[in-house]
Amino acid sequence: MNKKEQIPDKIFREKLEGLTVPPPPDTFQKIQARLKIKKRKVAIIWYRSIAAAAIIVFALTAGWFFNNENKVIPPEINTISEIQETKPQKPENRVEERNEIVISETINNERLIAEASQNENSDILKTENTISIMDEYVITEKTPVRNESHLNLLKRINVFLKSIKPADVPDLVQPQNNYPSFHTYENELIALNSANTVNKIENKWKVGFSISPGYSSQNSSHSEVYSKNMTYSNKEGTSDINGGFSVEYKAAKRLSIESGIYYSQNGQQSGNSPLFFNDQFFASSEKESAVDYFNTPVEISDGKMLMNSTAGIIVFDGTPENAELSANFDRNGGYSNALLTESEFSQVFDFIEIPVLLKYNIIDKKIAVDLIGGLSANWVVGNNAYIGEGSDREYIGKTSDISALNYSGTFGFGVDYALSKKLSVSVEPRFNYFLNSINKSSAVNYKPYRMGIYTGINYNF
Amino acid sequence: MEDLRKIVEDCASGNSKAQETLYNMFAPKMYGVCLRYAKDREEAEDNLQDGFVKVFTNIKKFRNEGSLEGWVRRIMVNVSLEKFRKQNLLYPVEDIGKYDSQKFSDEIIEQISADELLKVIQQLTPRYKMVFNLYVFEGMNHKEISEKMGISMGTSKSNLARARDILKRKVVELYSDVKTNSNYSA
Repeated sequence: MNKKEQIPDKIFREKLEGLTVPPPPDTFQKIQARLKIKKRKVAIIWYRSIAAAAIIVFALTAGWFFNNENKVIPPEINTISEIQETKPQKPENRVEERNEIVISETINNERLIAEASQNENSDILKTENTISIMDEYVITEKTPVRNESHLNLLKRINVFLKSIKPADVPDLVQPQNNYPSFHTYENELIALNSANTVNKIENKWKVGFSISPGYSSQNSSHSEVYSKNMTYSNKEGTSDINGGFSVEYKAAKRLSIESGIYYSQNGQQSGNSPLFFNDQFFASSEKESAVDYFNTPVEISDGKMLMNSTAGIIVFDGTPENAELSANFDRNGGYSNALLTESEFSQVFDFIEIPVLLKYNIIDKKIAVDLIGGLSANWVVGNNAYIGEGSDREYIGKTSDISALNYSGTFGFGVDYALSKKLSVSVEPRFNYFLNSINKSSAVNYKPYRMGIYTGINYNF
Repeated sequence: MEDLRKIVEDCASGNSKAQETLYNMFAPKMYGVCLRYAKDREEAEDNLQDGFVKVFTNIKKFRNEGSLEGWVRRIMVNVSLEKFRKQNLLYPVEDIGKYDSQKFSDEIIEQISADELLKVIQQLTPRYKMVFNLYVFEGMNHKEISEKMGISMGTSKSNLARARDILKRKVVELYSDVKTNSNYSA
């Protein structure tokens, strides 16, 4: 074929080598869009990888943790004296002997199996050396099948050695003792590790007792009609002491769930009402002394005296001592009776609180710091109204329309100081506020709150 | 040269303006390369996009040693090669025997435009096109082609020969069209 008749590669090359064709105008925008998607994908893969790695690490750690939990640490198996007894062989001899065993085992495999089965009831395994080897396998005993195979192998080796060279059996088998035995310090280490592991597992639970001095007050609002005949609401809070038992479970490395049972008290005080401080009832000279009197309108209904107070209507059991009832005041829109007494007045509620709190550990050292948040169910177990304070306090009745069950929210932080592996003390400033009005009446919205410093002692197990 | 180095650095740090500059520098030429390896413009554009995405994501690896254009071009060719390997399609061998006796010269080819020659190449089966391109335009020998494509050297040689025969036939057809058209226009 003539050379000219061939397709001339050269001309193709010359015509197309430097070919430039403008690509479609939006190609670069498409490339940029794809680059952005790629970046996002890389970021997602990166996050997923981190998450996957965290899960794997967690799973491995958990696996290791639980495996160790089940590990049986036996009493010391090999004492130093035992180890010394089994050390007389020179290293070279041991190598040779082991090789010999391995070779023999390989070559005579079939024969050994046959012989082993014949000597199934032989007392070879009772030799001291073999027993110590068997003991060693107890330490790592996890897969019985594997151990059985090891024992079978030993059995077969012994059978073989006995059968061909009975006199040398002790010498040949003895070096085996050095191979699987633990040294004393190793056993100590194992025991120590085991002890540490156990402690870590035990610390998942914590029970404690705490008491909390605190300050409680309330937020309240009332309907217009109700407030017209209401006692003067003293916004000053009261100080009190709460306390209870707690149970805490460490659900994750940094997250714990706490519950328990606490007793708490919340109350409010009412001061003197300025309602009657006017010239109509008191001469100007008496005004000053009148200020010290608790004088609030009351309603007499069905033989009961009712008084609108901050937390709700107080139903009196009777007229308090040293109190006077002034009747038939001519007032516009209000009750015509007023209770006059020198003492102040208080409404007190007792609660049994069952909280469910989450604790997030932010510092995990000897002094640990947690963030605390959660919800509580509060059952009203006490509902009392008093006149007077301290030992002079006189019970006068109950507040009506109080809900038996109320809910509150809690947040705060806790500082835990480890006294030992088992004992710790904690100080937890907490703020607890009621989410609902504890008074069911639509005329009264009464939500107590409390700030307390829970100081306790805890037992970890 | 310094400017190009700066552009490469900026591209590596994700500067989209630098990327656009680099794209504008090489895109028309690379599109020409992609067109030779593709069956049509659409496939060529896809390959061009894939190629530039690789260029921008791997430009950190370019060490300013050797020609940047050569590096970009290799990426474009590799994109086409990758697609060829993935598809690994089997095409029937075309009957070429009848065209062996056709005679034509350099003059004939010179009368055909680059665009027409490009279409002729694009019409080749993927394997013939790949072998022809790698041999003629990338300057690879049959050993290199066989390694890149995962075929034997013998297959590479015979594919090249067949590619040439097919091209020869197509060029003759084009030449006759050219002649006819010139008659019409005369």
